[in-house]
Amino acid sequence: MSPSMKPGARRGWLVALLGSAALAAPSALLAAAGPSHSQYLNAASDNGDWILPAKSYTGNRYVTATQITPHNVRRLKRIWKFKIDDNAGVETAPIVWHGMVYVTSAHDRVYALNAKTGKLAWEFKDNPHVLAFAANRGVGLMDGNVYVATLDGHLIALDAKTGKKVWDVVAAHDTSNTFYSMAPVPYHNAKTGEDMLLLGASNGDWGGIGYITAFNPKNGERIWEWKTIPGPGEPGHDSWSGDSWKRGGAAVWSGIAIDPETDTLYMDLGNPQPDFLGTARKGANLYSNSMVALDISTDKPALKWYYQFIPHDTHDWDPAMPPVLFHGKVGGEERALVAAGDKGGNFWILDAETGKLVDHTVVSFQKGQDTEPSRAGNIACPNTNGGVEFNGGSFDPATNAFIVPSVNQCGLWKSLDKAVYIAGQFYLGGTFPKLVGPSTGQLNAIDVSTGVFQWRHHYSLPSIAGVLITKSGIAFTGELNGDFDAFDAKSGRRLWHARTGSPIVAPPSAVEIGGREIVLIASGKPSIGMSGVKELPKHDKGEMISAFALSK
Amino acid sequence: MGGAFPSAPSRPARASGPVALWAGFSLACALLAPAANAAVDAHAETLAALADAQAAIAEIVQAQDTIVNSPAPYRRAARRAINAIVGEDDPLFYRASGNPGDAAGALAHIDRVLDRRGNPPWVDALHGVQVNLRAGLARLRDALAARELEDYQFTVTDALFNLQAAVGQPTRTGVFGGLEGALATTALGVPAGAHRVSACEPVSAAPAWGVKDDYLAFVSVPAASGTAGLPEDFGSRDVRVEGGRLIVRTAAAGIVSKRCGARSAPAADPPANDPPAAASSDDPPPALYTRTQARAGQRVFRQHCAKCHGRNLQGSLGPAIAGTQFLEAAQHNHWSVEIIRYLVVNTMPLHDPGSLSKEQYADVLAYLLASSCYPAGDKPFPQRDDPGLKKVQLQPLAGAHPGNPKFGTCKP
Repeated sequence: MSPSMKPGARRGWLVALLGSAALAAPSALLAAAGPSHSQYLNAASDNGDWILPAKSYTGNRYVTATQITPHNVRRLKRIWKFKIDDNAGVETAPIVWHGMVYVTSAHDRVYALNAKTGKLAWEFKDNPHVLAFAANRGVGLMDGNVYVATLDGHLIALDAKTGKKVWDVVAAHDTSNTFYSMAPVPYHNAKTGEDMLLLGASNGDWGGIGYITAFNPKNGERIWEWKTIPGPGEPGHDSWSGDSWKRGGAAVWSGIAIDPETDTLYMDLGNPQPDFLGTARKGANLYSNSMVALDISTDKPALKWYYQFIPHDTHDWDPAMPPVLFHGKVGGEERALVAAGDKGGNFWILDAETGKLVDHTVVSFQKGQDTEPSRAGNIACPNTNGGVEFNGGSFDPATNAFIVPSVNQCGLWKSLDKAVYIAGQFYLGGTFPKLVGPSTGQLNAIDVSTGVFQWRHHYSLPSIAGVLITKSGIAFTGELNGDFDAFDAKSGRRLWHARTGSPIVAPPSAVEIGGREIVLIASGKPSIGMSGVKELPKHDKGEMISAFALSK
Repeated sequence: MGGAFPSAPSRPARASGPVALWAGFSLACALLAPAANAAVDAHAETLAALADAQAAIAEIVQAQDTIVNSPAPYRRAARRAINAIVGEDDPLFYRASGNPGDAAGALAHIDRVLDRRGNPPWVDALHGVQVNLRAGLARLRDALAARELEDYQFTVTDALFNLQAAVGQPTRTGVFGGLEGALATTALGVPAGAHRVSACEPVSAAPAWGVKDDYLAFVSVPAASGTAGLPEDFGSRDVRVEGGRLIVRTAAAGIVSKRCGARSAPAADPPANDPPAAASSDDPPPALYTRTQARAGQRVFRQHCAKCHGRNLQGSLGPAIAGTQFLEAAQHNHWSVEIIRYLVVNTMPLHDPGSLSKEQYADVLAYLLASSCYPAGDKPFPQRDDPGLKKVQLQPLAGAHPGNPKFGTCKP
C-alpha cells in the first residue's frame, strides 16, 4: 500500500484543503468581513454594490446610476454569461459585493462569480430533498459568510472567500412540510445591538403555519420568531373555524421590506390552507393574504397593523409580490407608502405608517372570483399562477409611477370532498387548476396619484420577471420568451432587447464595476407555475446568468 | 507489496525491487500454460478482481492527492472507483465517467470464482472480499451524496479502508485476508496449467506449486545464480533454498503441515446460493403491477410527468420521485402506496389534474413502483381504490435500490 492510503489518508485530505485555502488567500483580502451596518442602511445609494435582494431594505429595485440611458441603451451588449449547472428555473436576485457576484440555482447551488468576467471563483453544490418544487431566490451576506436557505429547511453559512461550509443547521421546524426559498436578509438592530438574518418559512401549501425567524448569523441559533397565524387567546384567532388554524398556512414566502428608522418589518403573508376548500376553515383566516407591519425593535416582535387583501381566499391568490416602501405623490402630497400585488390580479397601495388602503388597481383579467371551487369545477381568473407574481415591481420617482408586470390566465378549479393532511404532500382540499384559454401578460405603469395606468405594454406570454428602474429613465425587465428588455419608463416604449435564450423569471441587478455599469439577469426554465403554459417556447438554452454593459 | 505472484498481464505493475526473476518466471508459466479451457480460470479471475479493486483504490488515492477547490474531481474518482467494482453491466455503472477497471468489474470476477461446486478454503476469504467491496461501494455512494467536501472525504476514507481490506493486508508473517491473502495461501494462487505438486511430498521440482486441500503451502522457484530477492510483502512465511531451488513457504504452510498427517478433508457441503451479504430485515414487498404496465407507464411518464419530475424521475422543476432521498421521505412520512395512488390520481399532472385515463394512471404508478425497485408480478396495478395498497409502505428496499444520484434505474 502506498503510505498515503493508510490512516494518513485523512491527513492527505486536510493537506488538500489547506492547499486550496492558501490559493484563495489573495481574494480573501478583498472580501473582508462583508458589508457593514451603515452600508446596509445606505445600500440604496451605493452603486458599486448590490447587497440586498432588491438592492435596499425598501424593496425598491432602483439605481441612481446614469451611465445607461434611453439614448445609448441600444449599445448594450452581453459581456459575459455563466452557465449554471442545474435543471430548473433560476429565480435568484444577484447579490454583488466587492466585485463578486453571488447567485443561486433552483436546487440551492451557490456560485461566486467575478463581476467583470463571469469567471467562477467558487461554487457550492447542495443536494437537498425537494418537497414540491425547486426554487431559490438568492443569498445574504454578513460576517464574511454567504448564507443560503435550502429546499430541505437548512440554513447554511458558507465562507464568502472559499465557498466552504462554515455551519449548517436544520432551521425549519418541520421539514416534512416546510422549506426555504427566500434569501436570508441580514439586519442589524441598532437598539439591541444584535445582528440577525431574517428568514421566512415557505410552507403555505403543505399544511404548516407560516413564521419568520431571526437567526444569529454566527451560529444559526434562533433570536426570535413570529408566527403568522394567531393562536388561541390572540387577536384574530376567531377568524378560523375550529382547529383549522393549526394547518392554516400564511407562509412567509418571499422578500421583506424594512424601515430601519422605526425598526418596522413589512411582510406579505401567503394563502390560507387547505387552499381550495374554504368550508374547512370558515372565517377571514387572519393573517393569510395580508400585509403585516411588525415592530422588531425588541426580541418580541409586535404587530403594528395588518391589511388583509383577500379575506378567506379559496384560490391561492396570495400577495406573492414582496412589499415595496416608497415615497410617492398622492393628491399632490408626498406620502410614505407601501405597495403590494396579489396573484388574484390586484395591485395595492397602502399607507406605510397606518396600513390604510390608499388605492387598488386591477392589473389582470378577473372573472368568477366570488365563487369557491366546487367538486364539479368552476372557472375563475386569474389562475393560481396569474396576477402579480413573486418578483413584483418597482417605483419610479421621476414619473410617480409604479411599474409592475402581471399575468392574465384562467383556470378550472376543483375542490375535493375533504382536505387530508399527509406529511410531505400538498394540503389543498382540491387540485391545482387546469389552465383554460390563453395565457398573456403585461407590464403596467400605474400612476400612484390616481391608480390609473400611465401606460401598459402587452405581452403574448405571461410576465413575471422583476423590474429594475434607473434614474436615467429605463425600466429593465425580462420575458418568458427569454428576452431581456429595456423600456422607456416615461412612455412604455421598448427601447432595446437581447435574447438570453431561456425564460426569465428573476429580477435584474445593476452595479458599477471599474466605472462600467453592468446589468445582471438570470434565465433558465420557467418557474413551475408557468410550466403548464402551452404558448411557452418549446426549447431553452438552459440555466445561466448574463451580464450586460455598453459596448466600448 | 502483497500478492506478487506470477500475474496476468493486465495486472498493474506495483512492486518495485527485485522482481525480474518473477517476471521471467511468469513468462515461463504463460508459455507452459495451455489455452484456458471453458471452465473458469479461478486464478485469472481473482487477479482480475484484484486489478479492479486496486484500480478503484488508485482512483481515490489519486484524487486525494489532487488539490482543487471543487468536488468535481473527487466525485469523478468515486464514480470511476464504483465502475471498477461493479462493472459495465451494472445499473450503478456511471457510463460518462469512464472505467479504470475492466468490463466485468471486481464483483463479477469474484462471483465467477465462487460459482462452482465444492467448498475450497478460499471461499470464505472471497466472501469476505465481497462484503468489503460492497461496503466500500455503499460508502462511495454515500460519499457521492455528501453535502460537502469534508463529509465526502471522511466517507471516502472509510471506503478506502474497505477496499484495502478487500485487497488484503500485508502483515509481518504474510498477507492475510482479502484477495491477496487468498492468492498467497490457497490454490487460487496457482496459475492455470502450472505444475502442481503435493505439499506433503518433498520438494522435487521447480517451478512448482505445493498444494494440499486447496491450500497453497509453497512455491518453488529455480534458484538462478546471482541475486535472487523477493518482494517484501509477498505473503511468504519464509524462504528456503533446497537442492538448488528457492522455496517460498506461504502463510498456509503451517496449516498444510498439520493436514499432511491427517486424512483428506471430507467433501464439503455444496455452497449455498444465498447472496453473501443479504441485509434485508423486512418482508419482501408484494408484486403490485405487471412489467407490461410499467413499460406502458414509462411512456405515459415521459409524455405527461417528465417535464417537472425529470426524464429519469430525478426532479427538475418539481421533486425527485425516485431515489434514496425520495424513498426515505416516503418512509419518514409514512406514505403508503395507496397514498401515492390517491395523490397521483387526484392531483397530477399539476396543471391538468385528472386528465389521464384510469389505465394511464395505473400504468404510471406501476412505472413509479418499478423505478423504486418494487417487484413486478402477474397481477396488474389496480385502476381503482384498493385497500391492499394501504398496507404497502413506500420505502427504500434493502439492497435493491441504487439510490442517489442515480434515479429510476430499476426500469422495467
